[in-house]
Amino acid sequence: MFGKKTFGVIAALMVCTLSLTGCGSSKTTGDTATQKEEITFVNWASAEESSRPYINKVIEDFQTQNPNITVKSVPIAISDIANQLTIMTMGGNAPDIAQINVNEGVTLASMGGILETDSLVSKDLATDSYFKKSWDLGLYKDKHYGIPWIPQPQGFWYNKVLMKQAGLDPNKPPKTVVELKAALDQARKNLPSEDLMIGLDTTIRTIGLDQEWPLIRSFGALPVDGTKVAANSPQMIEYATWLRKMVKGGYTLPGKKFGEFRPIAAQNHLLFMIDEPQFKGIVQSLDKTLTDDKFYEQWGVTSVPAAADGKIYSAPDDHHLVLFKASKHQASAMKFAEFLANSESAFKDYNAKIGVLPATESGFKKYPDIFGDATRKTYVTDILPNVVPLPVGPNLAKVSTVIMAGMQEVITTDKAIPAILDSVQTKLEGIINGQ
Amino acid sequence: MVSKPSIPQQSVGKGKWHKPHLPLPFILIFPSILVLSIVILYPLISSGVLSLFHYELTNPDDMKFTFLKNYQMMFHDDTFWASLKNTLFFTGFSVVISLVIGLWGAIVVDQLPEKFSGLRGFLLLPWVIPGVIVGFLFMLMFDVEIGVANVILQNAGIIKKFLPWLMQAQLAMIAVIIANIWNQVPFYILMFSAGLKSIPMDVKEAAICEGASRWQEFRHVTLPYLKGIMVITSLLMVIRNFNNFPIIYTMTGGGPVYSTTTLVIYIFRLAFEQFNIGYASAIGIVWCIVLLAISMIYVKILYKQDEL
Repeated sequence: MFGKKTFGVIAALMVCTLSLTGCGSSKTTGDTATQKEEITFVNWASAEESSRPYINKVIEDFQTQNPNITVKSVPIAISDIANQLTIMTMGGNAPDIAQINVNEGVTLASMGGILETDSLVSKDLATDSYFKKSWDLGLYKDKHYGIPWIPQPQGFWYNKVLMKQAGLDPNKPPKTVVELKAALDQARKNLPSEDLMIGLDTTIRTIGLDQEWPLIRSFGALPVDGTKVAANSPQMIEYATWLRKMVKGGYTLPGKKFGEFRPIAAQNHLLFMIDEPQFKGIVQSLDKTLTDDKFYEQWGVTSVPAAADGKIYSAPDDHHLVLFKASKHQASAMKFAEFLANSESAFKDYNAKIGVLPATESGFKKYPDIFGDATRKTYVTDILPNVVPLPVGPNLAKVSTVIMAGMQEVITTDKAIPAILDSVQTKLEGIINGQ
Repeated sequence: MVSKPSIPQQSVGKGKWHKPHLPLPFILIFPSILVLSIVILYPLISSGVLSLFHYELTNPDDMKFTFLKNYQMMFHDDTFWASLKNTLFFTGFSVVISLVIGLWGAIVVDQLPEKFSGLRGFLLLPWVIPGVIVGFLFMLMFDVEIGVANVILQNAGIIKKFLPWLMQAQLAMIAVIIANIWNQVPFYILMFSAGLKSIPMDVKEAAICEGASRWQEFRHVTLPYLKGIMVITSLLMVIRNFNNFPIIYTMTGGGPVYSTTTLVIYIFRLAFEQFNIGYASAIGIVWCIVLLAISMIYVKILYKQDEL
């Protein structure tokens, strides 16, 4: 009797619990009567205070123009997005569309989680409109896997006020690495110790390697090139020696993310900086008194100082959009991607507001009132054509960790540089050879 | 009339045997056991299996059974040994220094007059602050430019110029240990305060009547009474510090180079930054075995205490 009663109560409780949980999980994403679709958009734009209101406005506009599509924005911090997307994809929980750093697209493509976009992108956009450099950054095994959203090449920002104080010509920023070294030495001697000479990201992050890459290349070094490893080359030794001097000689601060140099720049204590187009907008947001005129009186931008052979390098930090194979709403996701990349609404409410370039050449030409400022013009004409992708393929995270750990060893110890780089070489060979 | 409670029993009549009912406690506990098995056992077994494979998320089609290769790799991996050394260093120093400060703090708190009893709650504050926040607070305090640590040391005349605390191998380890100690000392104070309260007053009084000095009373009465609680607390904190992730990760990310990379940070980097799941699982299994051994010692000591 007692057993039956108890069993009955437990059974009733279980039925209630199951029916309650069952009700929750049976919720559909769309209203079948109106064929409404919900697409999930993983991005860091809505995770950051500075861009959240603008991306939300663009999403709102898209939904107004496409009433049958709802965009569910999932904010994830920029530093976590690559691993979160990897885990989501492997766990069978991939979103429909995501914002990624272009260097991470190759990793996702190699996993087989994202869609090849050659056949999906509108023909006129792919062949005629996207900046070719930015579009081709999404290449993996001769196929495109990303849709350009925001080209972010690294340029060379120079502080005209500090250059003048240091006895340098503010209208002649260093054009080669040799000139850069000389300018830095002269400025270090003439400027007070609280002024920093150059902002260099020396953190163990892919983005750290990305920021240093143009200078590494300008020094003539190429630590990894596909299956070739040359981390202990004389050029790399020269670069590492220079980097050690930059830290130990008080030219820069060690262990800083490159974003952490922007407030120093806003306080007029930074001479040179390798940064993206949005450097201007961020510095202005940190110092509200800096109008456009005042900003251009203080700052100028040009390409990163060239190598001895005159070749100029820039590394990409572009934001691409990727579509996932598991998506059930690929057409809607594609529609949204093209809206973000090439619509008046996105240009006006997003690109213009956060101070970045448009993804398309047609957009750049069509909206001179938005994109016709000196900074964007320099980036499009002088810097973007020199972008070179990091030639490391899907091993980007591992390669970056090893190289940047080596660079940290260079700047934080007194160990012999060749010995440090020999160790980096051995580790990189292990990664490239799959050991 | 009092009705007889029905007791499940075998019915003999008509040659039928009824199965005994499942005991109620078992039915009630079963869901918990099931959930715990899924949450704890499945990942553990799954990690054990994965550790025998070459498996990288960036190349999932290339999954190969490599048996003990990942474990062999560990022996030749400098970073693994550096991480193990850092884990032991971080744990050892954190526990020993916290224990000494915690004991001292508990004695001080124990001597406080009743009107200061509210201070006990105040002292617990660092313990309830999440590790990530502690990490960020101390990261700012040890910042080379704006950190208050440098300002204090410079004003005290200990250093001449600001030190790059988080960018110099030895200094970075010292900085994370200081942050960790600050976070966990209140736990020791709490435990030792409870221990001090349990010492019978007459024993203490007897020692003093016998002419024992304050130090002798502490050395021969207080300390032996606290011995058990010290061992248990330390072991518990060894386990906790072996697992410490947020403070180190937020302050240094394991750097500079690998100077503050502990095993748990290394596993995280391998699994979620480099996506090398097979190798990360192998290190995870070794880490589990070490922790299991420590936990067994802990449980054994705990039982011994109960028997006393």
